[in-house]
Amino acid sequence: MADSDVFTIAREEISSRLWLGSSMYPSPDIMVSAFASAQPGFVTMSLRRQTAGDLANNDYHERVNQWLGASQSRLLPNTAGCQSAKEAIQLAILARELFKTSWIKLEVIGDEYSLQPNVFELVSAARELSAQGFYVLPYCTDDLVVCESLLHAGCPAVMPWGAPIGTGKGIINPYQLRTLRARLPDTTIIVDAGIGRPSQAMQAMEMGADGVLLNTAVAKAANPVAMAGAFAAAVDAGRAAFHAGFMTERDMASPSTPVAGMPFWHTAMRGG
Amino acid sequence: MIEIIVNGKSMAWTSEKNVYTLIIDTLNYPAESSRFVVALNGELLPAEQWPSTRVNNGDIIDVLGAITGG
Repeated sequence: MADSDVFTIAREEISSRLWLGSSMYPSPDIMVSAFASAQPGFVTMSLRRQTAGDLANNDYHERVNQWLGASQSRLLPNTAGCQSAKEAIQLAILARELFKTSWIKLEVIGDEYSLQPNVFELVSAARELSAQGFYVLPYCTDDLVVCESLLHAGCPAVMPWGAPIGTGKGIINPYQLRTLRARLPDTTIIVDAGIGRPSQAMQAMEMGADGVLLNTAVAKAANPVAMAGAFAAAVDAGRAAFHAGFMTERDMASPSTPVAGMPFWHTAMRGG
Repeated sequence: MIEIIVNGKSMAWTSEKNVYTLIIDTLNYPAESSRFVVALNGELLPAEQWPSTRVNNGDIIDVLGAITGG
């Protein structure tokens, strides 16, 4: 990758275009090893009610903090589980106090079955949190007008889903992602959710996404550490390919090896 | 009698408490810890305000810590 391909959001340099969730790993050790393998730009966490006992036994939080202190990764708290703008705003404010960061992955769920965002509440929450100084990274659908509304609300990037959370189906609507890239050429687009394989992450990057955020595909792999490395390679390759420029697809075959100077063949045909 | 809800569970007592006393002395959360935050009736209550904030009948208090997330 060219050295000039610096990745910034809200004028802050982000160390990697691969971002990872911290959930569902078999153990804290494996989680941190996966982070070391992927070197993610952001690591996501959340917050919930906890007893004093819960806090004392929270190994994952301790290990994430250690990782953040020893790496270039940043922490990205989320508002997972919120179903209204009001809830999401309240949780984001609590997250900023707990995690000491103004970055927030804004989630407002509108449908419990598909975990599809409630885009109306999402835009409302994004507007308020942006006004309060948050760097709002919204988990959204791939709807162009919704993404434009989120940008107008003050979001420094948009994070459209590739597919519903946890499905691993990849980019189920490539036309729409291409549309977003074409219509929002200067917008930072992070494909968030639904990525199941490195090839799907690479596809998103080849299509011009600026980054990908995923969790289940690494955490639930048979070998999360190896899979994290595979995703990192795929994201780098996809980004490099996007910059390199693709050949034009065509329907007719065209020989790669020059035909001129070929001996025997035409002679044999005539002599048959 | 003061009745409140902490992390979704009812609590009741007779003497007056402030939030610091409730959180640290009664519920045994670690003092001087940055690993949890407190919401009073849905709004963040910064730690420096705990000692001066009286717990009132009907309050809803949430104590939140970090968990893994995607």
